[in-house]
Amino acid sequence: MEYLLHILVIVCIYSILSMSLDIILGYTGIPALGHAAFSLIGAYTSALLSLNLKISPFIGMICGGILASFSGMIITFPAFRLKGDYLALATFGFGIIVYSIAKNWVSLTRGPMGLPGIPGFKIFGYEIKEVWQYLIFVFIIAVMIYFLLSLLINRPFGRVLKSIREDEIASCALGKNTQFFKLRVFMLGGFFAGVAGSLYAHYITFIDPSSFTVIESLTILLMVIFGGMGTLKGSVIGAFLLIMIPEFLRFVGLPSSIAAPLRQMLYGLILVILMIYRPQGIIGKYRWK
Amino acid sequence: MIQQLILNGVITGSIYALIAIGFTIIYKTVKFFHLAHGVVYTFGAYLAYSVISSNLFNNFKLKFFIGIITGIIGATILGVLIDRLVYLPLRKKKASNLIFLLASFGVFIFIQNLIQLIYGAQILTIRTGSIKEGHHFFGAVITDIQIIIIIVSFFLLIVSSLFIKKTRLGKAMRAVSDDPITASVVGINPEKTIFTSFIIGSSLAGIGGILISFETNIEPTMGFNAILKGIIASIIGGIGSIEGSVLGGFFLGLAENIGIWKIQAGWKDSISFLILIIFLLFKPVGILGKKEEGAG
Amino acid sequence: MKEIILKLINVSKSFGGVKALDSLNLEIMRQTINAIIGPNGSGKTTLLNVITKFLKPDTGKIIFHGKDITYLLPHQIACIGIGRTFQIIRIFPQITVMENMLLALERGKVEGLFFGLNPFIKYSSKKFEEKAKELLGKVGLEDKINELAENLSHGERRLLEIMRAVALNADLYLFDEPAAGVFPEVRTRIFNLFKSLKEEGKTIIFVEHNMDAVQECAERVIVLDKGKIISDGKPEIVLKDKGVIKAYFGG
Repeated sequence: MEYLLHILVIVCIYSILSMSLDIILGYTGIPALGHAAFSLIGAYTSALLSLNLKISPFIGMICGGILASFSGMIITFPAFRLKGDYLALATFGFGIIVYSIAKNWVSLTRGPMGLPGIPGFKIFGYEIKEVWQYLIFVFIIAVMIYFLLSLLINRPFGRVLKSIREDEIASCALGKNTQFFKLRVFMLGGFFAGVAGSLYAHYITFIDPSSFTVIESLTILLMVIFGGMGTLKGSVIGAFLLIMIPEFLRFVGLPSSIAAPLRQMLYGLILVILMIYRPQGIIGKYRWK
Repeated sequence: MIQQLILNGVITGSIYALIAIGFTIIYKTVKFFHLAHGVVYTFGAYLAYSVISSNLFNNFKLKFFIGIITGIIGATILGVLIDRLVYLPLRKKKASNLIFLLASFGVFIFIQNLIQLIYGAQILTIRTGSIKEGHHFFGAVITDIQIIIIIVSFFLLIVSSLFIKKTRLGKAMRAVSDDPITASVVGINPEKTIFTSFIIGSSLAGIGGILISFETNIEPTMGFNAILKGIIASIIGGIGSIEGSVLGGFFLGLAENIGIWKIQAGWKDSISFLILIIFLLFKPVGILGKKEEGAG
Repeated sequence: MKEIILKLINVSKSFGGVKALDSLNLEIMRQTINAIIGPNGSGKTTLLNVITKFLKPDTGKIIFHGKDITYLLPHQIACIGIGRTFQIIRIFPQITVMENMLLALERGKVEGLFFGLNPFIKYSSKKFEEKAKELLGKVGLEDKINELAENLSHGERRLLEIMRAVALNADLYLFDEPAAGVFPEVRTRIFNLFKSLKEEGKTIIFVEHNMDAVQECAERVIVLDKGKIISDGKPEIVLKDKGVIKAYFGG
């Protein structure tokens, strides 16, 4: 039972990640392949602040989000000038650079040894220790983010994002400062991904760079595509299914040395099949151009 | 010290150039980033390893030879299979480059983990016997295998660029690359050309993988780094240019190895991606490339 | 005497040695309908792109409403009151007709990120939806508002693109071949719209190939050839000009 609750916590965290990627990828149409970098920045910022400066994880989470958000600014510069697969490659490079900084800046991040003993969240002096308590906590945050983002995408801001995805030049001709929109959407996506990273760090209490590799970015991307780009519900469904399905591998008792590569193989296979037969995902309508 | 770093750069560079040239030959006809090229390289190395480490043949030299041949043929078949099973349906649907890229990524993840499932995640080594003392060469040390790597790579690089430049098939490839519609009008079958490019490109990847497995060790994730470096080399050399990809490969190999003279070795990947992003932003056509759509 | 709304002074643009616009001087009067004609490659579309800053002019100045707009960016051009359409129709295909229109109508503060995220503000597009319906009604598209834009016919797409530009409520409209490839009935709708826009005080410049259409609608015709204006004036005079006939039909 406790294990199931744990899985649901992970589903909530990944839902935040996939929703925050969806507004960049599905709504604005920017192929971002380095999303795990944002959650890495959020996780490390928040963890280091609470470990070294004893700052409350709540404040750390916001700081992590903000720092991830600012790193989103950096990635926007390639997005101003590049398109399609070139941009995908540049964002991929961003993911690898951030990962490699976390791995090599040993004096700050302890490198591959990771950061153990990250304190948990406290609400009014009461520490969230039980898994079910944490589940309620992240669930509320995920619902809030879902609510905020669906508000955003149904308002004029969201419409402009879709117009950039559809035809950036026409969007400019209607007076939209598309570059500024891209900048803000990367910062927003980065912020929520940073928050998700922080939620992860304070829940697991240990982080190391290996949790934030490019494969991780690809997993988040796959969640968005699987559920259906350009629908927040799809991102949540994608996160849920792609976490739950591989859990069956563990459930039937496969050792992790087999279950781990099998899980990755499954992800690879799903990606290929989706691209060939259903690039719009399960409930998505938006087709790639 | 610097001589050794330059020599290491040349060795790394020649492997990068081999991957890059294979990648470029494929890119020229299909026009998307064939990421799974990296796993073709891994596959070649593992197949060669399976034969060489087995006890099928008593004659060691024969086993070695058969291992290498199996590795190259296996890599070639894998490359062609990926094209037929995954890219061909996408080509029929006229999918965008991004879809090809992601599908290719999916194939990559799938096969890499399949290899991990079969062989385990641990590092394996083909090398048998003790490491021999290297030769001294202008203040640097070079081993026999490194000499072989350099010679074989240079040979292949020259042969494949001559192939593209001089032979009828190579010319057909360039025609398909420059203008697929006109090419089909003058009777060049694009599918056949793509098939050929996958054969040549994948066999080069296989050779690259086998060469590196004699020099260092093999592990399932080796192809990831290799293809990234291959793509970066191709882009900074000028995407679609054979000479450019070779130049880019050596440039990258040298930059990485000389870079770690002053910086820790862990930063190698960051160096190459930084170079890539700088090129993409400020010189998207690369050192030798022609103007490409979508790059700027 | 009407005032000048747009003025081009010595504007040049070349592509790799080929002069698409060659030291062009042009004045457009307010509340007029102007047609630009010329053979293929004469620089018509380049001219529109230079005015709207999708291309930067190599030399020269562009004055709009007495202000220098040479160094503005494309989206700023739209904001100061120049709307345009494109030679190849650029609607947003995978969103609805209504959303296409709302993108032009809802501008400014409501598009802000924090406005969008603020749950304490009540926001409704109702007012703009009414306006969009009214505009689409003028060209007979009111039944299509909930369709995806990609499901429209060619003529309907043209109409949508034009109405979307009109929804910007600009002072000057640049239409690039608005009537290309549409049925005569749709063409009539388009030109009637132009006339009613003129009545509202708008200025229109459009690129056109069809001479009958030009005569039907424009009060001034500007003929471009190799980036230069070779003739300029009332349609009935310009279209009989020997130089124009030579440039167009190769003599």
